[in-house]
Amino acid sequence: MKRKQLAPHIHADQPAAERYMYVLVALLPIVIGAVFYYGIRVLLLTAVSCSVFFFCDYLSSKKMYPELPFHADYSSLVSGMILVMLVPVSSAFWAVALAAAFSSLLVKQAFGGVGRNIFNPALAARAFLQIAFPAQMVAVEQPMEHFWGLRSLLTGKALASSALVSADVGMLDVISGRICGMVGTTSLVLIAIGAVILFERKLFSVYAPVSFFLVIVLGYIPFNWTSVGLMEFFLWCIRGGVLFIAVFPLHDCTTMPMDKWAQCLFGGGAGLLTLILYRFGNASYAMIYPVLMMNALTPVFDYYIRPRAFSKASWFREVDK
Amino acid sequence: MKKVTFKKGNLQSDGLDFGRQRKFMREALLEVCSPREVILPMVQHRGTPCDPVVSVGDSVAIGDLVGVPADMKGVPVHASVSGEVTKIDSIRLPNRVSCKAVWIKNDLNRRFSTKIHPRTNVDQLSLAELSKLLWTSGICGMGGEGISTYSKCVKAEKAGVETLLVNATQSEPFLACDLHHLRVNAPRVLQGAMALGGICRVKKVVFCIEDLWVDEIDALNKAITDLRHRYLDKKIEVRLFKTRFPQGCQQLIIKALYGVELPIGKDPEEEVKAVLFNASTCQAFCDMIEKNQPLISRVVTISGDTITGHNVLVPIGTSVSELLERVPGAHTAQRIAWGGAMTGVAIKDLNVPIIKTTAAITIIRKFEPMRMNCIHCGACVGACPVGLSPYLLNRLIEIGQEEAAVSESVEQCIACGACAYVCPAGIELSTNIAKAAHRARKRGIV
Repeated sequence: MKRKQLAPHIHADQPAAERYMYVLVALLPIVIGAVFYYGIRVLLLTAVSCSVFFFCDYLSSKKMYPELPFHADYSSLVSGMILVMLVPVSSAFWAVALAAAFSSLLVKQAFGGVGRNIFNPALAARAFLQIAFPAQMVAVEQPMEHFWGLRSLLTGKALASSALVSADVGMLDVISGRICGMVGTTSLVLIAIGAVILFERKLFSVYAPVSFFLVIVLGYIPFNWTSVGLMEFFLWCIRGGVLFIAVFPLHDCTTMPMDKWAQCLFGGGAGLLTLILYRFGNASYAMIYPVLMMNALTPVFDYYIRPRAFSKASWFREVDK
Repeated sequence: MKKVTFKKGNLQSDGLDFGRQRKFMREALLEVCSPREVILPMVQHRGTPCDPVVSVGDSVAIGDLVGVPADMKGVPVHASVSGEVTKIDSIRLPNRVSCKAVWIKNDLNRRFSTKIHPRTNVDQLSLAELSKLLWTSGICGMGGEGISTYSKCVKAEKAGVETLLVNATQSEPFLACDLHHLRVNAPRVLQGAMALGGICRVKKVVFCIEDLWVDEIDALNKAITDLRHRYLDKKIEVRLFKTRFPQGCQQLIIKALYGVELPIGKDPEEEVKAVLFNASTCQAFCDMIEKNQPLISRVVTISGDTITGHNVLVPIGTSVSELLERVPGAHTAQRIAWGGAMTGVAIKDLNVPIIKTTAAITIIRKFEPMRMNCIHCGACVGACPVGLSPYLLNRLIEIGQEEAAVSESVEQCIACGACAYVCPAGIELSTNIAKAAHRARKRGIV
């Protein structure tokens, strides 16, 4: 089919595939860091997750939308990689593959493929794992222990069942990510590097991540003034991946509102829900579900909060009676 | 000096190469095109069509009347070459106007009409005489607007405007025809603007120009200091704008200068007591005052994404194919746009004429955006200068919900193309929305 020649006749030099590619580039330091901390098994998990994601996307889009050409737009790889960064290193290959297939088929392609999904695919896959295999989703493996770890490579069982949080965690360990946690969420430095890469390519809109972060940090004291110590909460934030979730799954343009004020509300709401779930619910999923809940609200934000058109008195949509 | 601008739009940092204009304006001199044949459509403006007053076989000289409008809302058409009328037929222009046209074969003698001669009493012209000159000159808005300058002046005078704005903001990349006038003929642009200001009875004349064009601003300032003594009754100002697409649009100039948002259908004459003329229009009126020469030629920028551009002085009616004969790479081009790269119409048949409102011919040799789903990135919302949500409008139009699109104020679209330019998914947002906006406005008026 020959396309009609419509204005404009020049185009900004940043196609969507390139955007996703830069997200991959930003994820790369985190993956390398995870391999450094948790061994070669991370790479295998990533390969399994990404390939399952890609083939499910490819096959279902061929089956469901045969008239559209399939674009290798890297979005499947991005989702697969983020999923692996959010699971413990000891999780089973088949569990990750199952979650990736579920997410690709039911969360992404069932809604119309890339750009049309309501929920973030990686987070939805992680939530699926949390419900289906909660026992696997507990991080027990200490970093820097077994690089090759052949036994754990095959069985997925932790070699040493060390304590959840070592008593001697220093500040340097926290920042560099040498603490027990999910594969890619612990290293603050590497995640910050990823954010800087995105920012440098003008792909980073700071409103949602910053408001998410601010609400969690500022809301800590009013929510936890009796129960939890500061260090414990802090470690929980890092192990749960507050920075990683803020920079990658929360800041996914497809499932985030467009307007900057809506993004502030979106991030702030996710932060508030996180605090509530952490205080009154289960801390093990208090980071994943809030973002998914806010994802469901994104169309509402987009509907009500929009830029003000010329000659319109208010930016807020007048509801027709 | 404080620079003014509007919000959103496309900046140079978004990849728009405004610097190209500077480069080729420095390098290339103005070329003059002498066509073998011209096609003079009877509707080159917005308003009443003209009727041809010549017949096949007539011999015409440069500046002779060829078409006369039925009422004062039209614009007369003059012969742009000397020669013989070979054909009178109907023609369809790329801007979807069908009208009669006159074909004139050029005898290459450059025989001028007896009316065209240098005027000696330029300074003694009364306002009524100037107004009559403006009517006979056949000038219409040369920035692409196409409204008869005479009727605009009459309207402005009735509304009691106080400010005349000269639009020299050449915001579209690859375009430099107005800038050429400012660079080479700044005193003439000033003279024309002052004469127009006299007709509109304004107190202040403001030149709007973007901050990137340093040489042009210098030339303008020099012209103002040189000629200041002749126009002591009016204030003259130069206002700098930030270089940003689409600054040249009338509404966005008003928004930047006055902070007033003009909705579609409202005129700046009524709302902010200002009237806007293009710099090329002012220059053309200066020709009429000095030499009694009507609008018979205009400067057209020929440029493209892979070729170096140049400005050509083209007789009105020259066909695009003849204009592009000597341009390297034009015949293997992927598409040729009748107008600028952002808003022009792609043409397949090159036998269409340059008309009074054609500012550029753009030759596109590589254009391959990929087409995929909207990824909801919000780039279009961040680019729309009038605050629409193009992704939503496009979706509504695709599924046939035009009423819903109207309630989203689709009619405010100024068809600038900023949204489609930035779209990473390569969706043709701008054209779909501009068409729907056109239909909505039509329905609203009728």
